[in-house]
Amino acid sequence: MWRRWVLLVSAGELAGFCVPGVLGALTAEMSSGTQLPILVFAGIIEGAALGGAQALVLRRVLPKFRSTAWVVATSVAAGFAWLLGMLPSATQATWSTWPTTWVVVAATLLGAVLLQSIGTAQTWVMPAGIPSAHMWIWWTALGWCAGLGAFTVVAPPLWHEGQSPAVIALIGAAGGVAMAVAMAAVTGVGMVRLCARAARLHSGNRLEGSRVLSSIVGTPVRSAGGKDEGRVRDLLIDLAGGLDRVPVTGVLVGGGGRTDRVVAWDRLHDRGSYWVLDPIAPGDVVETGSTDVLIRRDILDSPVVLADPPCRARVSDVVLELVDGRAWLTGLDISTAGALRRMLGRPVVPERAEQVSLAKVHLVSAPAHSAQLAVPDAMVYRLEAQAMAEVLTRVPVPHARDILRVADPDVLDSALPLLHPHVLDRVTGAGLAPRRTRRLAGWRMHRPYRRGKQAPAPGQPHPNSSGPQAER
Amino acid sequence: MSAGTTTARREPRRVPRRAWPLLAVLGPGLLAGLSDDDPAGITTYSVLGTDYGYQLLWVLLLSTLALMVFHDLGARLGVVTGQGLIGLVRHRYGVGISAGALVALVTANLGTATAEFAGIAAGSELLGISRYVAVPLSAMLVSWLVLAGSFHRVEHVLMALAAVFVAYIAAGVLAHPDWSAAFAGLVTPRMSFGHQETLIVAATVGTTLAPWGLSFIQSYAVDKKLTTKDLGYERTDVVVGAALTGVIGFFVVVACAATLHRRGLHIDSAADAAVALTPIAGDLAGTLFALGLIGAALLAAAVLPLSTAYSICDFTGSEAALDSTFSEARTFYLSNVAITAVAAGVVLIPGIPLVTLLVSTQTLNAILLLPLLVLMQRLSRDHILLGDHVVSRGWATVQAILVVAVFACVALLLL
Repeated sequence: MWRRWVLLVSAGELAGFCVPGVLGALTAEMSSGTQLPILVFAGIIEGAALGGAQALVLRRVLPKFRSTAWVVATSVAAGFAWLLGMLPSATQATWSTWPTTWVVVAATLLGAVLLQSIGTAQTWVMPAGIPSAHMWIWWTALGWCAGLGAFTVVAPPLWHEGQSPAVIALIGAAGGVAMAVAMAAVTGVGMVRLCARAARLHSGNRLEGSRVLSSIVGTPVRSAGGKDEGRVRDLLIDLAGGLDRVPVTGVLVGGGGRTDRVVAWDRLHDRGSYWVLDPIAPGDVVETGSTDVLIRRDILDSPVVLADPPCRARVSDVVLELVDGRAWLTGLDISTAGALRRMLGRPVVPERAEQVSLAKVHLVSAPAHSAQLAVPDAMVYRLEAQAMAEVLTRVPVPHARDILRVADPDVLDSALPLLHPHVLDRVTGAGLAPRRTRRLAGWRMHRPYRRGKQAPAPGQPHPNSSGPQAER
Repeated sequence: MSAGTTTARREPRRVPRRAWPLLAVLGPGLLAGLSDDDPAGITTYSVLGTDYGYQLLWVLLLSTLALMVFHDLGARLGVVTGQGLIGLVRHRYGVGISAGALVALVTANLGTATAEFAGIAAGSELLGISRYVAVPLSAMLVSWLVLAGSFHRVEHVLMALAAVFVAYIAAGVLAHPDWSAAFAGLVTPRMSFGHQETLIVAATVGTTLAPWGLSFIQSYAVDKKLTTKDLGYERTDVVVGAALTGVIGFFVVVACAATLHRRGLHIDSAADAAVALTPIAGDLAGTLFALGLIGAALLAAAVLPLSTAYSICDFTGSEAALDSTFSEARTFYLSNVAITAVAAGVVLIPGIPLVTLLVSTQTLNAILLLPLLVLMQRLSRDHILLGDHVVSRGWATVQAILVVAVFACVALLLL
């Protein structure tokens, strides 16, 4: 849908932009007051072209979409936006005498209203039932920021005094193309996200099978009587239940001005487009323990460290398995593609081979790190020396010190000599500066020695760098 | 080997740290601060001094204070969370906002890196070296520094490059300024709110507090593996770095105010200032100014692509370390080299409107600065992330006031 949107909306906007472009050139010698109504009229036509192109895409993906209303709303809003855009030049004689502060405030307000005008009008005529439809206002504002920015970067620098009309028009067209494509690309991301969410709700949020966290967060929650209780904001897991399949024990419900509260997972029931929450008695809330972790807050988008292969990564999404009303966290998606899919509003469950078990990573966020150390089957308790050295090198220093306190001393005895001297100094708390300045320790990972390589004798250079030993 | 054994083995090396606590912490703050004195910054300070004499020096003082506050905050966020700025934004505010910030940051950094190479081109041509020789050589030099894989060498070279900023101090002294007027301008806020004046004030704030500097200092503090115990030292480093940035800016303004402003001259760039200084303050002052310009540009041209590469890897979560091989940190190296190559290449395109490009970049930097400052300000009060290290209410209020002030400056710049 995104590609279709970019193609059609860019073309529509470019075609529409020709009208104010041509009329603007023809009326360039006229006064601002005369230009104003002409360009507002041109803006209405531009809006119609833009709205028409958008409607071509949306009528295929949004049920009950009203094309005519959409085109009219876009057209009127575009005319209004042109009116606002022309106001500064038409009223320059008035505001040029204002104090600078007033001008700043007025310009900020004017810009904000201008950017939100088309999105607001279109949101009014959007089909009912699209969750977070108001976000479309911000997406259009962002899209027009990108579009106007692209035009500013391309056209004005190339326009010079004395150019022929053909060259001026050509440069303007190039600017128009850049503007249209940038605007369409950004608004396309927003519309794809809204449509994806609408489609999910239309088909129902079935609590069965494999799902990713990002497709669950945001689901509306209602009481049995239909009262709005907020949205699903996060899921609570208990690492003590096993790291290969971590049971989901609670749901954080809230938002929309309500206080967030954690309710037991089994209190929620699937009703298709929303979840129903059982009546909760006062004080009947889930108590969180030392092994509990909130997935969205502590795992999603946070860094993780892997021992095999040794590397750092970032969690793009979290895979959940939902069976018979129960749920488990079964894997992590740490690919960059997963993040891009989320950004485009199309989160999908990655293939099993692409998922990483929670048992094979160390979570870097502070609450998750502590929770992992509190369970006996955490990765750091099962590592051999080389892998331990790799992990200690990559986790933040305070985390490494925590691991040193709880890990198997025999493994540590073998792992610590493998650490780069700088890392060893930091994580053991011996914290001694290199001879010259401690700044020399910066900006390097200081990889551990590879097994098979002999650790250097004191005074000999480290095989992984020409640095610290030689510096001394 | 136990920790105790390690302690015993390394005991003798405690002495230097105790003896040279300040030297021991110099690094992130110093490089981040001094890199802000890039050609765009030098140009802005030169125009400030040439057009307004000592009158607007107080703006520089306030910008320096803002630099201290937000660089300190960046270092704190990095040290406590162990994540760079873009990574932290992704962790806390999701992939959408962080991706937007990353795209804007990379775009702005690319433009700024182009400005740095344009500064190298201008400075080298002042010394009679063609840009078609100087720019490719500089690009290869900074790329080689990175690809050589030895950070301590890179950092030594960068610190040596930073030393050329002494040239500006020398140029300022050689210009025989009126020190009492300079001091009065520094501590007496005066402004008539004319259009050009507000523009240069906004530009001064914008060029001193750059978005890439904020992301750079945080990544650097992370990679240096500093801990919360180092926060006090790190603050010293930040304050020293920001203060030096302000001092260098001060001497650039003073040099131009004492010579070009007194004669009623006008300049459009730092290169103009170097040319104009020569007949007034002597060959040495002009040459020093040109050398300073090249050194500043080289320093920033080396740091900027690195900073950008770190931000990209911070977002994706990929490995990013100068001692990694190419296959281990492909994204890091490719983005670094790509930024350098594109920026240098753009400068060499004949007839490219560099001034417009640089102004657009400054504008983009200014726009990007606002959301980054707001995000940092919010992160600084996030108990989940920072725990006991959240900034106090009073300090948060200072930050908020500075954000509003910067917002006003950016609005003025965009009008």
